[in-house]
Amino acid sequence: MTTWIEKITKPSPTSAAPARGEARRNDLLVAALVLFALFLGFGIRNQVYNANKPVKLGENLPRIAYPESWRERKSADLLLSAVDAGSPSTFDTQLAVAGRPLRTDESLENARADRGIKLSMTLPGYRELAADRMTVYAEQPALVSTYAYIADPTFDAGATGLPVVVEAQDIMFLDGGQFLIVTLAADASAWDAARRDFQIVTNSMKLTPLPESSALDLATPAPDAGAAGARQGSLQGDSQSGSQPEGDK
Amino acid sequence: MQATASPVGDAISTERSARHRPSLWWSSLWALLGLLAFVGVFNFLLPDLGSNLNEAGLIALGLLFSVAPALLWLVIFYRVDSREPEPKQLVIAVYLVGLLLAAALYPPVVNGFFAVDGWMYQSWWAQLLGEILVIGALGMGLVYFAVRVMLYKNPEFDERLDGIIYAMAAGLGIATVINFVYVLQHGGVDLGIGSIRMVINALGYASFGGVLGYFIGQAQFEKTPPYYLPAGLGLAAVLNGLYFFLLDRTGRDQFGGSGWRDLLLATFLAVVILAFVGALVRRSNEETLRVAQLSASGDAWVPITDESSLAALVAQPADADAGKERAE
Repeated sequence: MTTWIEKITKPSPTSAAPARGEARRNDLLVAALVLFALFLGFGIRNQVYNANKPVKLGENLPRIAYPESWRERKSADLLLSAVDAGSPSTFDTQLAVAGRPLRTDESLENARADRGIKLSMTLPGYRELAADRMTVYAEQPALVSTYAYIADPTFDAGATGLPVVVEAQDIMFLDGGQFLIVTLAADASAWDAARRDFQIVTNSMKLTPLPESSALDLATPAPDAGAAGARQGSLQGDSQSGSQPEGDK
Repeated sequence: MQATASPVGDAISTERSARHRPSLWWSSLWALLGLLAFVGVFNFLLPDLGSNLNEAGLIALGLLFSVAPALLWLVIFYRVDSREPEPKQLVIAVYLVGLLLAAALYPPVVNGFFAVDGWMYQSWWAQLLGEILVIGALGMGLVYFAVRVMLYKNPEFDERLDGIIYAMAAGLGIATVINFVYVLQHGGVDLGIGSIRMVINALGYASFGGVLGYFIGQAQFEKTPPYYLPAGLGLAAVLNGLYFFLLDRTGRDQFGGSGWRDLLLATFLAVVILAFVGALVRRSNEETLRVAQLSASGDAWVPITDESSLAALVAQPADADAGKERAE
């Protein structure tokens, strides 16, 4: 300690002033140190952004990861439920994974249509916004449906407050004889802010879009979703499951 | 540093650079008391000052508050250091350059590129490292370059302590910008808590600017090894990071932050840090004078008390033999 203080208080054995070149060297070294510190800070930032908690969904089921800062919630009906308690909205940004055994001869498209109908009947103001074919894990086919609905988290908690428009995305695929649905949901106004967190989930699932040529229109017309029609019109290709929403009921 | 062509000039300059200046420490102490009084006024005497103001009024008052700590320090510094003050224009210019550099770089880097609010508070280690590597390093880097831009080759930079004075001024410029940003982001501030927060920021940046200023002062008057100034900046950045980390972590309770606890801790830390810097300066000055006396007398110890005796010594034949004979 004493040596350090001596070095700090008397860095050179003489009292000679530094040459101009030394002053320039000091400037460069200070600038380099600041840049290096910021570079390390950038690394820490990325480390925090990518910090995640991997979870195995069950026997013969794949793994999924969610942001480390999220809190896992116990739920009897779900394989996994986690929320971001630090969400800016009264509706917490969340992840839910549900699964059910496949029925006889049930295809992914049929299961997805079944899901769409159920959601349209249970969620207020439900409307599907987009649908895509993608792949997850080892190139397993998956269907991704983006939809919106209205939630009332403050009312549900016994208080009075404005309802929230929720934007959600279901990633549906078959694995281990089960129909698995990974749902990502957030207040629609906070969806973009939550994108980075959702990416941790989708990256852990290796969610990849199919090449454009193989992408099909998968929009499901919901009984009470008149406005969805306009959106569906913009989707390309023919509809396999969307045209037979009750086929698997 | 003043340009000196003769050995007499060198010796006088060395002695001057190592001058003690208690007025700096007195003015810092008075400024600290002034800042506490500033907080007291808006928390006890005028607690309802902002209650009738609309958002624009609160923002305007908040912006005035942002400048108040720096203004207070400058006024007190000139009152106390009246015998031989630094040129007002230069101190204000360094303050303004610090402010402008921070305004140009701090919000875009910290809030824009790094978006610290999105990740820094998610874990204690992320906060600690973020406070040091991003907030501390950038803040102290700005202090360094503000002082260097304004004072490189400036003859007014002729004492070690000048490094501390000007770096404190630059630090206060950065604190002003941080306070500005805080006021604007929150649409004005609660004047009670807001005044505490602004004083805490000003104390922090002035103190750590002082730490860095010590190293800048040393490097201005002595040959330093390559690691010396980066180490000084690193130390100031680490202290800066620890200061804000400790304030955030210890002042927090289940109902939110506690402004008074923060203020108490900030005051304590600022006093400790400035006392430490003061001790370092005193020791450096003593060492410098000792070495100067050794050189002037041909490597022998001769106590020198004032400039006239120094000049008389150097006026003697400068060859080493004469010096040795005199020493014998």
